[in-house]
Amino acid sequence: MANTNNSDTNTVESVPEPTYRAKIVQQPLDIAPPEQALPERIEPEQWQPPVKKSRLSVGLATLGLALTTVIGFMLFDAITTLASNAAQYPIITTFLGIMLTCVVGGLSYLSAREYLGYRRVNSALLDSSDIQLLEQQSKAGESLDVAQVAHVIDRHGTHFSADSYAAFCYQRYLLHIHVDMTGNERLALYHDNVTQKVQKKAREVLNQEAVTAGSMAFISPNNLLQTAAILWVSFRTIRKVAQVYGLKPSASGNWKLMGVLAQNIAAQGIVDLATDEIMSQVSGSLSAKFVENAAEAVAAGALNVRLGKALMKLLK
Amino acid sequence: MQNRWSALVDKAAQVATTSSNKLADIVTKQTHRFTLTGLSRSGKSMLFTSILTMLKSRNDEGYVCLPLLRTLPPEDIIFTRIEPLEGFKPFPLTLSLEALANQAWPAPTDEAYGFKLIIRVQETHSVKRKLLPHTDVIFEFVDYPGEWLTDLPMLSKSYAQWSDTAWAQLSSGPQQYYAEEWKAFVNRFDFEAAPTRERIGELVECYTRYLKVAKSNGISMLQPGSFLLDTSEFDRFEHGFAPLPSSITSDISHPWFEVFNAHYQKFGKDWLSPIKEDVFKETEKQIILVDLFEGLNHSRQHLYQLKETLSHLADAFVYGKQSWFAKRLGKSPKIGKVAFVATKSDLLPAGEHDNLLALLEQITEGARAKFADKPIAFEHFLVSAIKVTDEGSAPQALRYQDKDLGYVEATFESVPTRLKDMESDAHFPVLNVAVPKDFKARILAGRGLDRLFQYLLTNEEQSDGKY
Repeated sequence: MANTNNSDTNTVESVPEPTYRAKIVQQPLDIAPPEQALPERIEPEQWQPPVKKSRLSVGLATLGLALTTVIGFMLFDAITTLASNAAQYPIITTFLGIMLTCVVGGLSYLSAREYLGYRRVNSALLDSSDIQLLEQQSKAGESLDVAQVAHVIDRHGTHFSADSYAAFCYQRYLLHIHVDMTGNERLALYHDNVTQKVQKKAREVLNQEAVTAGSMAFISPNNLLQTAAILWVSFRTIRKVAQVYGLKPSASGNWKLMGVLAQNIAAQGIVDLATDEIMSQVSGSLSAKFVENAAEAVAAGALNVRLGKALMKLLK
Repeated sequence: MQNRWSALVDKAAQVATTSSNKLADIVTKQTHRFTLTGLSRSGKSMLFTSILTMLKSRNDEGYVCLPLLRTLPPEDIIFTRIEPLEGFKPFPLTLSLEALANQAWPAPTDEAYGFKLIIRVQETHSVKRKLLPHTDVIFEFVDYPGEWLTDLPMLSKSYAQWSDTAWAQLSSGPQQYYAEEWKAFVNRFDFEAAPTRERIGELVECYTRYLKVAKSNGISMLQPGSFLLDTSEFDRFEHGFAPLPSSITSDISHPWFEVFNAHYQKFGKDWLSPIKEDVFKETEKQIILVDLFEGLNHSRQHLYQLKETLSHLADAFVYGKQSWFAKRLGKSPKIGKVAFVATKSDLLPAGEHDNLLALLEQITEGARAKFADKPIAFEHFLVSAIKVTDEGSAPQALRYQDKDLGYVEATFESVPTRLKDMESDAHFPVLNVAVPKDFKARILAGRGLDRLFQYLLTNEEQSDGKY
């Protein structure tokens, strides 16, 4: 058997108990600890574009007038050949003439009001370019200064109009912010909670407006009314999308949008010509009229989407 | 006729919806199994309790928490469900929450628990939504006693190697003071006498006593850690062993060497190997929890030892990047993403967090060196699973409720960013914090878990960090 004198342990000397100087000074306090509040709760999204009653009533009245006019024209078409026999039926012709004037007048009023509204330039659009720049830097892997990011975002956030969806999202974003977050993290949160959500909502609004534009084009009895209706829906789209963003397009943006709007109306005119031509080749029946209006409705919806997308690109 | 037609259309739509849901169930599953590596008292159980509470409160009750978990936006989550993990006891979440409600910390984990957290996320893309309406993100978590983890490196050592290493360790560093009784016992012990059951028991018992005293004084590298658990299924009284002086381990014919060597082999084969197989299954992502306060609470030497322990632990795992094909062919996964996490960060004033992070980065140097030549993604994080402190009257101070329920302000000197900068005779005594009554609000006020899971869930190819 091997010699086992436990030699490893014989040489061990007694080790003093380690003592250390504390680098924390503790002091009892004479107050009760504060209670930690639960974080805020996020309620389901219920934001709707703000609706003003007076606007709604004018809008509805105009729509009603338009419908009445359509029905009038349809009745007129069905009963007699009004256009060629105005002298023979002076009362009905006069009545329809008055109705037509009212519709055109109402649509003109709405369009003018929307036009004046979106002419207001908002300086906040300049800040969005700063945010885009920061996002590019973040994507490139740069570490962003938290104070700079907070400043740019706060400045941008304060420009949102109080009843806009963007302001609603911005308030939610503020609930998520913690002091220990980095600049890149704040920017990412802003992107998720404001930029992205606002765009999603704008797309939803745009889709609704495209349906409205199509419907208006469908029920419009003649090209004049159709153009007026599209003009109105176009301005309404601009207003509603701008409401989502909480911003109005800038002056330069206005010109761009006006260009798109003019192109849309011109395009709609071409669609009208084409459908008129097709209709004249096919027949003059009611079903042909239906087909014509349906084609124009699809075109109007698509053109409205085009306008909305141009606006979203501008406001993004 | 019209009714029949509409009924037919409705039925077709119903079948299409059911089919797409079932298809989504099968096709769009993303399973993330995390190896959560943490020494004893590193805060694993509290971390599980917190992440479950946070996700439930965020998704079901609408509380604002985990804002940086962009991969799983609350508005896209359809439901969150916890399911048992096959082969494991369910994680005692209710018991942990009850303990917190009774102002006690969750009991230390003494056996393995597992659970599956299933989060169903709705597809946001309008076209994809028609075909595959949702994605199931499945997290698989396993909680286990940290003591088991410390034992894993023993699998790659012979008894003689382990004994010599253990003897060298207990003779150096801060643990040498606590090992005096054990050494004195060995010095007196008659190794000429035959290794009977009683004598083996005496020796193992004395060594276990040393392990327990050393553990209570912040020593991290203690093997076998399994001997510290009274609930351990390995019978240390029947098959126990202890390190022996080299004068004995150098003689492989010595009866004490023979018997301890046999017990050591049994420990590896019957206890450690099954644990490694079942609990520490290789995965693609690893979270390494580090309680730096355990080291700061004692001394610089303790921190160096923590660094050494982490370095040894990294040996027990397989790191590497797997190809897409290897993954699909079901090859044993390798860890390709590692998160080093310092827990309990709320025990330091916010102004010291950068220093704490720098210290963490230095502590993990040895572990990182194990995969330095491999394309492994890693990151360091500070996490507080529950915010138990409040702001103090100065930037270097914070306040907390101590175990006597008094409210205390602690003012800190600056935490060193490098180990060498820490004075050898100084320490940062850990705060004796009580569980707050408002524990739920304080769990929801915890920090860093969103950052951690966002990092782990984001694939390199996901530029926007979203599903």
